[in-house]
Amino acid sequence: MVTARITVNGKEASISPVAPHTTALDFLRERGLTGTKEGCAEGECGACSVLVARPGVNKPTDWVAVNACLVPVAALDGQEVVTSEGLATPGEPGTASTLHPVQEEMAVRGGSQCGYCTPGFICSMAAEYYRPGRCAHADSEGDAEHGPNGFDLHALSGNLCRCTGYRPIRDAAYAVGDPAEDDPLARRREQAPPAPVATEYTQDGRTFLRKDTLAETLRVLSERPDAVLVAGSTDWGVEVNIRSRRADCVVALDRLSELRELSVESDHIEIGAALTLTEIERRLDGEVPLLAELFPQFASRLIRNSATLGGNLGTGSPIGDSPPVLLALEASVVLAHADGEREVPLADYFTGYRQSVRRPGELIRAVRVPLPLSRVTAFHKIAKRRFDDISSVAVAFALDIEDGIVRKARIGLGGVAATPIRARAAEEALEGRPWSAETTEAAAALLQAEGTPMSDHRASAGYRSAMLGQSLLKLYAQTTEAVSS
Amino acid sequence: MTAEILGRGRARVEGPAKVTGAAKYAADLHPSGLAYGYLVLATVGRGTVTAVDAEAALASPGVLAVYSPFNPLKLYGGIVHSDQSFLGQNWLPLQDAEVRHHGQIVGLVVADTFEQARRGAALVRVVYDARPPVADFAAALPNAVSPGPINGEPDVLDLLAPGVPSIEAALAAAPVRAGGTYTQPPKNPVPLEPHATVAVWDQAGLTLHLGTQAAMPSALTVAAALGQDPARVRVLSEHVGGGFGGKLYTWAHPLLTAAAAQALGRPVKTVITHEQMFSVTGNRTPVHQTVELGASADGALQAVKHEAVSGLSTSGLIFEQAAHTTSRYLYKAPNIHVAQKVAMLDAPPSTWMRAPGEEPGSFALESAMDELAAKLNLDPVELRLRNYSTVVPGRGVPWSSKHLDECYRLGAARFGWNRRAQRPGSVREGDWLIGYGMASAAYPGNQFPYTMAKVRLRADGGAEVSSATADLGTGMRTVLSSVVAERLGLPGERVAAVLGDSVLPMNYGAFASAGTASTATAARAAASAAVAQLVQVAVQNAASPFHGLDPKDVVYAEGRLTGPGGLDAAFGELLTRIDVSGVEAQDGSAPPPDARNFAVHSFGAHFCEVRVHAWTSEVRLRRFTSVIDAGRIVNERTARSQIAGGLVFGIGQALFEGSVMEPASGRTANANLAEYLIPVNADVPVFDIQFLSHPDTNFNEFGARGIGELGTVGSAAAIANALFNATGRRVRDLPVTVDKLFG
Ligand SMILES: Cc1cc2nc3c(=O)[nH]c(=O)nc-3n(C[C@H](O)[C@H](O)[C@H](O)COP(=O)(O)OP(=O)(O)OC[C@H]3O[C@@H](n4cnc5c(N)ncnc54)[C@H](O)[C@@H]3O)c2cc1C
Ligand code: FES
Ligand code: FES
Repeated sequence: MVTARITVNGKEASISPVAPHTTALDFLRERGLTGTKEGCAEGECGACSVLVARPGVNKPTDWVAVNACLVPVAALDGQEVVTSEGLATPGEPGTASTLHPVQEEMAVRGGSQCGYCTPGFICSMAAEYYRPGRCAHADSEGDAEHGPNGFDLHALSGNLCRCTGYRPIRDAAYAVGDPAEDDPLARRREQAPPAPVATEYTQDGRTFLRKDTLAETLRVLSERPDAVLVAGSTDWGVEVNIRSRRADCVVALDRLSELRELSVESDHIEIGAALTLTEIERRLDGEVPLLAELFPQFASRLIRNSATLGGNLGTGSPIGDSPPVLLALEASVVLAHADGEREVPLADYFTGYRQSVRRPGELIRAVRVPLPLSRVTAFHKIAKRRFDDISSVAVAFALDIEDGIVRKARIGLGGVAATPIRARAAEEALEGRPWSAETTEAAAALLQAEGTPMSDHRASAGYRSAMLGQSLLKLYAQTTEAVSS
Repeated sequence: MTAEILGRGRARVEGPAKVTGAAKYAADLHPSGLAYGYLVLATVGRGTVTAVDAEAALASPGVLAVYSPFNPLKLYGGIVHSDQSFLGQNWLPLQDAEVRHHGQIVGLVVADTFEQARRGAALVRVVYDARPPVADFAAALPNAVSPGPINGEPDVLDLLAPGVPSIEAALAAAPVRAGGTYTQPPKNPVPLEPHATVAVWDQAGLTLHLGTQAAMPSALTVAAALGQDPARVRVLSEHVGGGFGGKLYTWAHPLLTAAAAQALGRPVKTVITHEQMFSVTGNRTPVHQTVELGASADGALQAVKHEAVSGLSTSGLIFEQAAHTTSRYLYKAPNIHVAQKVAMLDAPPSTWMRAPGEEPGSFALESAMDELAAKLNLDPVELRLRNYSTVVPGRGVPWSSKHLDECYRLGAARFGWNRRAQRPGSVREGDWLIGYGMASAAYPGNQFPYTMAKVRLRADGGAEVSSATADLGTGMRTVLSSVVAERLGLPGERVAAVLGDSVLPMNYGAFASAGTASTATAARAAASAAVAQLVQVAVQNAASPFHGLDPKDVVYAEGRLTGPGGLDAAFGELLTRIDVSGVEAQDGSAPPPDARNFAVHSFGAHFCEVRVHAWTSEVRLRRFTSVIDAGRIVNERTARSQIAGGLVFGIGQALFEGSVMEPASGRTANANLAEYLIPVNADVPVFDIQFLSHPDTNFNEFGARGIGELGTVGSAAAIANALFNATGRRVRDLPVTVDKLFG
């Protein structure tokens, strides 16, 4: 057994002898670092947020906030973690420590009441504090989602607070300045990120495996068809904590370089299945408008910092948010197996409730989005709450409209059937017809009849169906407004 | 200096500990030899446990014990009906085989690790003789019964003008009528910190680390249930991760945890999950209300009829008293009828939750007032001013201090209320419909009797104030430190506040917005008593330069004693010189004012702007203006946070929150943070919170009333009224989910 090691607040530690499914949160707390809190153990509250050093988008290393309650500590082998305790600079013995600028603002502006959510907010806020280029977006006014210091409020979308009413926290976030020259975490960004480490951590007969290459990973999968794949662990972590699922063998995909490439070719964009949604969002930087529209509505920044497209498709969930978008984009998935690779259109990928054409031993290596992109696109997610909420229904449109005629229409739906589906009848009702009120009304009626949404305490089936139609009417209204104005 | 300590400025004293993660909550404690408890909960809604098979659990690695109705831990039932009790339900766990509600505790597994305890709990097989529970609130309404008197008044209370035979007659005679039926689901306080207990026994007895709003009552309750001398039970709650009522009473799990720790001779920690919290700890009950208002054409109310039926768990104890706490006094009307019933439900215990009674009551009454204003085509603020009450209807007593009219006027001016369109659905910006709404807030000014505090002046020149209350994030430490610092003339940072320990001076705890009024007045009195004690020591101690003086000639100010002939010493120097480590004194809060002379309430007015998407009915809150009349504000910063936090509860009430109880099983279907939605950052609008400053010296010397719950009262109605103004749709069933607005 090779032991796994992790650096916490600058100190290296072995993770032995914890069980392989032990979360980073439990590991930290057992070691006495109880500043990191457990609120829900299911990624909803952010009380467990910690900073992790990851490959950067604009600098060699980014400090990224993640939910420690979801990630297995073994997955952090060789990695660097900073908690709320590690942000303050300790004073001489007997004197108070110096607060980190983020901590200082939170303390002074009343961002902490009962304080239970506070260390999590501190870490999420610190990650945004250190985001390269944050200050480049600064303007003295700010806007609805940004502070005058460029602080993106979405950075806090995965943190719940029941006491403060959030405003003092927002005030603190909008008051932080630039990191100082000699700030050790700011300087850490300039160095290379911790390299991925091959891990084989076994305890009590259960193993956490991380291989160096895709080929080795695929070999393991063909030998151990029972292995559970884990990328960001935002789904798997919930299974472990809430549904007490355990696996004899967990295989990590999140740092495999073959699954972490993003390339723009002449006729398609290929997105590695193990890139986090945040990485995709920042690296595409609006290049695929439909995806850009999706990301802010997908869970929270904390979740997006770990969640991957491979994981979102890998679960086969009918309410995943990426499938409707990827269906509308006519994306395909690249499936890798020890025997070779194949490409399957996403529309053919899902076969039933949480089922797909993926064979044992096969994994999703990448998602391909064909180019050119349709011009008129929209994503609409109906949820009860603005952020950090799962969909009641989701619909994505990608339309080519030329000379007032709909040349091509692709509509992806989530939450209306056992699998994500294409709204073929509505697509047909649009294609070849003029982009007019009459056409959209007819297509909206068909769209509304698509699938069989359910009623529950989130929304009635009638409302869900109605929303499908409404979203098309809204898109029509928006495009005509844009034309007439 | 004192001006800085009180009033606007001071930041929370324990802020640095909280932002660095140093602050310890119960679950953070890890005494050596710790074992872990995990609860086994009933999977039927009503019935009897007929057998428990613990064999597999006991054989599972690390499991130390499995307690169940057939292998119980002894608890003493006398506590159940004792008026000393802060027990949250009317039965004790594992003492009988009865299942009273879904998710009730039917077992406790203790093991070496949390993981082993949870695994063990999953292996316990419980066999039930199940019966159908009464869990459908709507179906139980016709069987609702009288709860007995409410606040010393009849549950059905008629205040009718002479010659008026009934409220119906008064309503029939009114030319304009409005109102309807208003409903809302059960709710959970959902503090972010899950309930946690660590029980440690030693020779001195039991030390229980417990996140609680009420350390001393918890200690008494636990002692009685465990059959211990109260002197042997100490409850510590240094930091509490929010309570909102849910951590006021003592639930069943700390009792079992303490008893298990005693039985096993090891410390035991039980942290309940968020899902368990919905059934093991208390909830706000569901409420069904009807309000009918009758007015003359000029808007003068002629009749107010408000009837409420609240759920009440068969496990007890608390139900929402919606009509008596609102329509009973809020408006002047010659005829008022309020009535309260309870519908018994086999549901998890019902308890106090932020603004109990007023939260649902104000939603119903203030929605109905808005409906009346619409019928009269009258401005809603004007309607309220026309019906302004200056004395409590039927009793004729005035308020100790009431400036609600100023709240309306200032709020309207700050908000720009005059831009409101009277016709609903008439303002649109792009795809968004815009609406304005307002509502009133009122919450009783409470002050507990017998609250004590101690102030100690130390030889190091610092001071310490202590009382057995808790700081749930309310800023109590900061308030106490500031109040004592002001009285002593010391900088705030020289006065430490010590709370969260049941052995400190008597205090019921932090609830009912009574903390400042009770504990701060006690602390101030104790500071004065400590100064008197200091002077006594100064004149009596032979080594003191003040020795032999008449105490009247020794003056304390700004941390120094002065006397005739230029005698002058800082108290720290003096104490050091006479070799006394400190002097201290206790004193208590003054008794609350005589209810025969005054009614006491805090007041407020909320104004809000909403936008509703024209295509999808999605709701966005844009801004809130709240003007608060709560007497003197001791610390504006923490006070503002309290109001903002209260408003967010109102937002939750209006748009998101509700437990979904499955009628057939009594199970709460959405018992987790993914499904029980509380507002997130992005749901929260801009708050403009203003405080009037009219010290209420009729209430206490300090002039301060409470504010912790005020933000929650009326804010949901303000939102619902704004939604009506935006869309023309009146939703009377909370929460207002999009589908109710659509179409
Ligand atoms: C609080 C919270 C909010 C959420 N909100 C949303 C939301 O708004 N919208 C939404 O769609 N989802 C949401 N999710 C679900 C989840 O975050 C997403 O499904 C995410 O994309 C999963 O990615 P992951 O890398 O974390 O998956 P993991 O948990 O690592 O893996 C999930 C599953 O996918 C499989 N898998 C992972 N990678 C691959 C691969 N490359 N090839 C084949 N199989 C693979 C694994 O075997 C595993 O079974 C939420 C989850 C949480 C906890
Ligand atoms: S504990 Fe709530 S998100 Fe991790
Ligand atoms: S301060 Fe209590 S939950 Fe945020």
